[in-house]
Amino acid sequence: MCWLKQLDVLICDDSMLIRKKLKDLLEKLGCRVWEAQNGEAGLEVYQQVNPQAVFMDIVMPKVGGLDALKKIKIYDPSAKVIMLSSTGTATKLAEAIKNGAVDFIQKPYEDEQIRHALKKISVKG
Amino acid sequence: MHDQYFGQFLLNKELLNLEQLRDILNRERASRPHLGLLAIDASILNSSQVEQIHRLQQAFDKNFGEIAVDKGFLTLRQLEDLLVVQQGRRLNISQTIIDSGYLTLAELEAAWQEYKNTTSLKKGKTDALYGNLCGIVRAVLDFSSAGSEGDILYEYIALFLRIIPRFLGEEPIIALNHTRASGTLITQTMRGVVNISTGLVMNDDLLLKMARRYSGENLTRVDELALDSIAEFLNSTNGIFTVSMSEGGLELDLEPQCIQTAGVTPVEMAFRVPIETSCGIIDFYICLDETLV
Repeated sequence: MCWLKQLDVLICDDSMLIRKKLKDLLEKLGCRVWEAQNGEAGLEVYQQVNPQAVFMDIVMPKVGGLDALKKIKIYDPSAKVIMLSSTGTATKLAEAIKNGAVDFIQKPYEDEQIRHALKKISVKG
Repeated sequence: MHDQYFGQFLLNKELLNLEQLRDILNRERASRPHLGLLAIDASILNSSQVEQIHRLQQAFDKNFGEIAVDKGFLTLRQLEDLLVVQQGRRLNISQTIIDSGYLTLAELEAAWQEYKNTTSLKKGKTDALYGNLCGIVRAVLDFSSAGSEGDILYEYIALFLRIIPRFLGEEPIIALNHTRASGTLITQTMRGVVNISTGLVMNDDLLLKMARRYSGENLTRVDELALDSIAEFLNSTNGIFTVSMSEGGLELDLEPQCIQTAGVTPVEMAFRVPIETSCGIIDFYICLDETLV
């Protein structure tokens, strides 16, 4: 997994459990991981770190994931945001893609889905 | 799953009491060979495919066989063969009831006939369809005061009962007469044309056990991670429900879950559904067009 080494990845999710599990996986893959508990904090961390990838939950307090996606894309139109949500309805999926998400993974995710999403980003550069 | 439905029916009819039903379900569960293991034994699936199906079961309201066929891992014929093998190896609930002496053969036969009529099971079709659980839920719970929107509540509870074995490894029983559980209330609301608020209460011992099972983490006390695990369980359940409702044309938006401070109880108008597990009681609360607290 050398193509993931030193990749800065932001996890934006209000669930401590999801952040912990995803962080464990990403660190095993060699990524540097940054965390935020809601969309507002996620935007702040994004502006400080400029990560190569973001895993963004949809349902979060303060600023939700879809609003945070829009704000991040305004700040950085080339941002690579992967939506990660338990509410994978067609409507939510369409809204995420329309607003510039590069992928949409429904929870609970498989590790392989995470690896695959990062690989796509890594290949696209 | 079918045994769970028939067991619930026997409980509703007061042909078995709660302790007897729990005993029966525990014995049946202990004897039940898992379909995935049977498929691995038969070299039809590999462990990676079985794990993938388990993951998908937690994201979609489908059983193991349906997902295996959808993914092209099993043909319908292979699935049918595996189900025959599974049925042949498990302890049948009827046999277990007779062996235990809880019912006579005549009592059991009469109950089975009534159950088949109630749930519209056809001859030879003893593998219960999802609709049957909704029928059982309707026979046990009364959401008529919610009007026509009460149908959504029956559907929700049926889905919740289907999800508990997958996420928490328990055979749930609706135990209406059970005393209220006390503990932390965890809530989540879904908003749309109708607003549905849901919540869970369980004591700390049960919460810790269920949090461990759901998260797979080695939790030792009811801390933030344990509470978050149960909140995430509720969120996953509601996520599956919103996807299911969306496919039927009803769009619902999830709100973030709330872990209420100690002592906070649900509003009076909320429906309480006590759900018995082998480790204790989960009080599930649901109401329409009101938040739970």
